[in-house]
Amino acid sequence: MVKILHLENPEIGKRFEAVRSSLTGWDQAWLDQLRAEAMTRFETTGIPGPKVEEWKYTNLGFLANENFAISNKARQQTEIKTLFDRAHMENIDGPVVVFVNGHIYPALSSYPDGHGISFAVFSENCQAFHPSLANIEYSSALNDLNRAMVTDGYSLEIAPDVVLAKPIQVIHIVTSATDMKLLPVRSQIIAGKKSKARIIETFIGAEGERYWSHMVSEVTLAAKAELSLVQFQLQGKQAIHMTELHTKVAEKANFSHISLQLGSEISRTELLNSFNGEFANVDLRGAYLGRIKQSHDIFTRINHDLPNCNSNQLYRGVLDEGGKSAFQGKVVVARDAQKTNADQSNKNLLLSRKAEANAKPELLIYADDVKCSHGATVGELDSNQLFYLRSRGLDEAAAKGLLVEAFVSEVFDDLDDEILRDKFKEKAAGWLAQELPS
Amino acid sequence: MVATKEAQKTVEDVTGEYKYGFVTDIETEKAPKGLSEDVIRFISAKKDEPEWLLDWRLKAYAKWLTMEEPTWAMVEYPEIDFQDIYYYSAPKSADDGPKSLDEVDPELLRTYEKLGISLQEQEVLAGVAVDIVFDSVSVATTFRKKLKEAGIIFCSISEAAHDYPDLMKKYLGSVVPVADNFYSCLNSAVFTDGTFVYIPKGVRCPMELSTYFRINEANTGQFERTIIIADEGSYVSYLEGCTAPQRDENQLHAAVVELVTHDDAEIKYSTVQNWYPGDKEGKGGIYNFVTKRGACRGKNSKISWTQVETGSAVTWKYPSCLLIGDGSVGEFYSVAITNNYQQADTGTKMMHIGKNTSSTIISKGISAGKSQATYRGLVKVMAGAENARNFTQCDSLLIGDQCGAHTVPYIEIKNPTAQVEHEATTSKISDEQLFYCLQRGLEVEDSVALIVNGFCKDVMQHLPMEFAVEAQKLLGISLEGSVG
Repeated sequence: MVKILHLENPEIGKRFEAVRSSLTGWDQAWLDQLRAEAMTRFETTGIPGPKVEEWKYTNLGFLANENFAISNKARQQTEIKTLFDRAHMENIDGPVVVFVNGHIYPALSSYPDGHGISFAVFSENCQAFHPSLANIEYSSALNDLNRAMVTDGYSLEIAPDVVLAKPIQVIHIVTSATDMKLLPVRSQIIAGKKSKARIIETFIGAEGERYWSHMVSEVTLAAKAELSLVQFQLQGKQAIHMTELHTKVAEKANFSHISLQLGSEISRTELLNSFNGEFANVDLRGAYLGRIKQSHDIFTRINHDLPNCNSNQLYRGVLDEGGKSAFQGKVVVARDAQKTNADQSNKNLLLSRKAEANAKPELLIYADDVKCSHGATVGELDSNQLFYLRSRGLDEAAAKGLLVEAFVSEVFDDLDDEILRDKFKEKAAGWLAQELPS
Repeated sequence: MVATKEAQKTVEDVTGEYKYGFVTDIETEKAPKGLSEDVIRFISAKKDEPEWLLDWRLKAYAKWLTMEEPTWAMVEYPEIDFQDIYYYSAPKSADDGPKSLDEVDPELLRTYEKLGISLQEQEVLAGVAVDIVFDSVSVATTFRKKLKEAGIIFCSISEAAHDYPDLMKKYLGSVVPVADNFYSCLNSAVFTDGTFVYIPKGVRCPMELSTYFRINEANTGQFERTIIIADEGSYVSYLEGCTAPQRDENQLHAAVVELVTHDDAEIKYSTVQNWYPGDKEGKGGIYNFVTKRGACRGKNSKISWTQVETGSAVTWKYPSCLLIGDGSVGEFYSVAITNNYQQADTGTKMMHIGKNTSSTIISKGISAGKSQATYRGLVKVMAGAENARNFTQCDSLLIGDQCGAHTVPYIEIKNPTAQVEHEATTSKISDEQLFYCLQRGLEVEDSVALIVNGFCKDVMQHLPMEFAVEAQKLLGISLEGSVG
């Protein structure tokens, strides 16, 4: 009985060959070669099956069976505008970068510019992505598939000491179309020494569409840099949404990632961090809300290879009828990484009978002078709290809503930007309102 | 960091030099080296087993041939050559079957005396019946008569196959199925001996049952099989302790323990495991790949595992509870100490299946030297398990900067009424703690012992009195009468 660890789908390779000469930057020999190499690696590795530990809670079976078309540049302007308006935060008066179906959409975009900011888009300047595409440090099956098929992406470099006054909004829109689409997008962000920036990414898609959005981001923070990455996931209910984020954080730099998972049928958020210098901080937090066939998977790995670094993870999940979630957090403290502080907290609320929450907060520790802890809980709403609120005159739905909101708000209460905080609240409350009709 | 070095030394004193390292020279009768159908037939014939059991073994063997060794545990060891192991060896005198202690090979008795469990003493000491397993065959059983009066069956598994075939057929492999995992399957094919316990309805076992396992002959794998059944309303406390002589070659131990509790019954299973951990360079030592599982089949039944793991080069052990009956309770209390090059990957599984089931997991890991200790646990609440409760706490203590402590908990919840909590911390003996003790006049050794003792207290409290002393010695701590 040999366990099948990896799945195969030869159609994907064939599809690649078929579209190879029409992919972005097809006329660049180096790019074509890197794509082909990535595809070869992908085919050799295969698609991780459910027996692969890292993919225990997200089944990639769909990849083995379905055939993806590379997304086209469909332009249903009114639809794009509607989706854009839902995602765009007007009151944040900053640059906006819009991708539609995995391709840059200049009509709605206003690229970030100004002193110390270099911004590039893959389809306009693929050379800017050469180092990242050639670097196979983060090579994995899905990363390589993304690399081979990548349609577009953005690159942002912030010069030392530059402080961005306004956050940059990046909006990924998927419009309705008939084919099952693959949307491989990449980004690379380099934050220079002592620079400071915030990027807000929103993923939004048409309802009723089956598509697979796959985003790979590589983020580097130089010493004392401060970067905040905010992600709203509002994909259509049948979508598959995956992000893979690699961060390298140098001395005394601060990186924070905060996400809200609301949409898609299958979502997977991979956050993989390593420290390049001491006294650096990483803060990862997020909320995932799921119901009816939805499955959210948060997968983190924080490598503490150097001493005196801090990492903090805080995740809250609310699962209702048919919703499923997994938190797989991993902290690895290397032998010399003394004085490491690492904390993981994962709490889940199950609102209904057919909900499921899985947690695997993992600690691997090889150093002795460290403070590491993790906590995980799963439970339902406290009946005493409910009773208290109801005795104060709130109806059941309102009382439940209030408690769930309080439970989730721990994730974004500390946000220093009021507009963002309100957006989180609004989105979460919208979900809850659908959830708990009064 | 001066203190740390001292602390390391103390832990070495506790676990390092293996006190029970000696080899008893007794002629043994061996099956040919390696594993084949013939060897299994040999074992079965040697045991004079009924036909159905031989078939059962052969089926397991056929299945085993198709299985692969698990590699997911965080342990590393050279590949095991399963054809380089003796699967059967028995002290020669066993053929005649000693009727009393006087008939037992005096050399054997001396071995036990060195271990501090002289049978005579044991017999005199009230309350403990000992079924000694010496290289896979029971050579002496005491107190059986007294137990028989209460209707309790306490015998070797081979005897049970003869005398109680119905019970054996019903329960053998019922909790740990033959093909459950690679090692349990191997065990099913070649198990040589073990203990069978049946507590009838409403009986509270008048004494604590205990089996001393001992691996003696070089290159002999030890494949024990233990089955304990507690019928309605009964109670039994079972003690398992292990020591083994020092040698160079790695030895394989793949035991299977199956527990079954019916309505309102309770089994308390305690283990002190102190097999040879290998020398300071990590050479030798026992490979301990054990499958232990209990099924709470009845309503309000309870299974409690307590373990103190200090030995073995590699430990792979997850005593688990299947909480099937409504209101059933599962407990797991564990202290695992690793030193030098020891590796321990241990934990538990709590499967909540029935309504109102609850489980508690307290795991304390202490790693020193270049050792690696991993807690790996699963708490699973099935969709129908209303009002399930679980509390998990796993703490790790690191002594020295060359060791590792890891925590891999899995929490899988499918019912909203479940309340599941998991906590874990990792720390070292702080300089402040040590300073405080030293300043009050304690020696470094005593201070460390005191701190380690405090760290493990939650678990040690659950050990039966009989084991407390040994555990005390093993941890090098004085419990100051707090264990009862």
